[in-house]
Amino acid sequence: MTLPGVVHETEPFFLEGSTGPLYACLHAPVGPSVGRAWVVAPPYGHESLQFHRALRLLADLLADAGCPVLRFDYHGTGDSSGDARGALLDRWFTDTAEMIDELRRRTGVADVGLIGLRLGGAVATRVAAARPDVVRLVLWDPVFDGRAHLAELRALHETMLGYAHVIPDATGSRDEVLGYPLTPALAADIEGIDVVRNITSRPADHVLLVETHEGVPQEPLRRHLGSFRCQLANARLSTPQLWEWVEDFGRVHVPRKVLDAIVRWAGEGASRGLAPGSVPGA
Amino acid sequence: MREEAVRFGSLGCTVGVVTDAVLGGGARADLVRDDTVPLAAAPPERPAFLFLNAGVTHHVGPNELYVKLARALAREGFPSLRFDYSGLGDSGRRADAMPAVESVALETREAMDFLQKSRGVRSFVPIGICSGAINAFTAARSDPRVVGAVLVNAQMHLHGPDPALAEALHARAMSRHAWRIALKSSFRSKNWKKALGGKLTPGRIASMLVGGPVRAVAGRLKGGGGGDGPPAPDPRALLRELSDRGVHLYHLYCEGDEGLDYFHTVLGKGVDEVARGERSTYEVIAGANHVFTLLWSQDELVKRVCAWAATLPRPAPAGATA
Repeated sequence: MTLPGVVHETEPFFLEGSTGPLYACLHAPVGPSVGRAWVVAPPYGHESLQFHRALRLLADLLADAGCPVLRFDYHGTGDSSGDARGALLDRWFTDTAEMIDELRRRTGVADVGLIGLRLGGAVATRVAAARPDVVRLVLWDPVFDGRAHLAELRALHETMLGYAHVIPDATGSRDEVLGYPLTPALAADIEGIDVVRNITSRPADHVLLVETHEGVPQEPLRRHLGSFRCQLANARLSTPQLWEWVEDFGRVHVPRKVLDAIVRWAGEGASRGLAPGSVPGA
Repeated sequence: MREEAVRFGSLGCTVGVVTDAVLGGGARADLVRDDTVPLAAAPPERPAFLFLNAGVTHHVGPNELYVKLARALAREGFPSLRFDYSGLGDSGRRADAMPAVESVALETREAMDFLQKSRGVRSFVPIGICSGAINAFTAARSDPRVVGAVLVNAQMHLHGPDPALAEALHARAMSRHAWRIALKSSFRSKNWKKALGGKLTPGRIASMLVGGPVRAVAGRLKGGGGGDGPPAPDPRALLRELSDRGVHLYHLYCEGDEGLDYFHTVLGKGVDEVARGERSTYEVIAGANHVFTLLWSQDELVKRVCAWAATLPRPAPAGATA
């Protein structure tokens, strides 16, 4: 459906997921579908806010290329039900898997891939590894080492405390990082992320690894993914300004060259006019 | 908690989330819609809050504050709609090239129209942080359905459209900000430690403490507000006009925010008298920054907005005569 006088409309809805109502936005393809669809697994915390605009634009570009796209918020985040203090990775795996099924149900497209950014990359990798029906996976600076990710977040938080106009709570006991809760349970979940150790089978047939964060080299993950018999593509597009915490929410970066690289790869081998349910190359 | 994802507006592309008031919420449960009654038959008597985009942040608000506020207000018996203006967040982009100032005004009105039609709500309280506060103030001045407005860290909203005056006021406010943060704020010891520890360069310190006053004086010499621009409105008169119309205004600032200095600069010494008049509230959250980064400050914001909302008078029932 295309609304007259509107560019890039979306269809928002709540999915009654098993963790509770989940907020999602469906981007319908512009013109005929290419028979390939994508679910976006978002990052958490301040990154979810900083990258919302970029992921929205990515969805628009993929829709322009004929791909339906579903963006959503995990349980306890964004508009979805639950409180961030109850956020847990296991719930997010469930949410992501249910979004894949929902996108299939709504579009009739069988070929559904996953795009995961940062913590969403860890979520997407595990979901893809558990679901043979996910054959395409885009990992954008994914968190593959949870301990390192936590250390990075806590260092950024300390830096923020040093220069922002904030006075920490007198009790000093709050579990938080850059505006978002980091409960002991969620911290333990994140700490347990070790993709190199825990993902022991090919997560998808086709994988694109996008590296823009020089502070978090993806070499170990690249080597690990390379050990599987999958078609691994690599896009290194250093964009350091993406990874600075910004207090001023008017200064959100949208890395167009990164988005274009993902859209190019995501559309490879697909062509418009494929019937719903068909899988190119299958 | 019942929330609904909606799409509305004349183009059908404005996306938002309605949070309905919780049954039994608030001190007066009789004000709250019963979930078992059709919405159109049982409109809430309390006003609905409209959350307006803060900068380019989508409708969840900075640090998802709009979601937290919406759910807390729902528990107090207030429905709300958080939505994205066209071209922002999850909304579509208009193809008609309407200027932003016009589309923002139009889409704010359409948000009220939507809630009026779908929920039977007759009065509204726009709320926004930063630029959202400016849009909330504009809506309060232009739409008679607005009975209150929450302006969080608002600035540049009380002096009219003269760009030269805006520039001069900004310079004066920034100068006041630098001196206040350095000498009077909760952050002063932290900032001096930073300066003594070499984390602030001499150039940066000079820019903050000296550059501001220089720019302020330059702005005055250039005749900010006295040039060819439209005559500057009296900010006190603007606030009085709203109060006389029965609109309740809540100016809430973070101690670390520059908007607080704008507020004092534009209102002068009478800020307390003006801002704490009838139907007008002005508060400062000490130790908090522009976007409420720390969780305690988020909780404090939610607590204060809910407390202020509880003071709003109940509108007359539909059909009642004055």
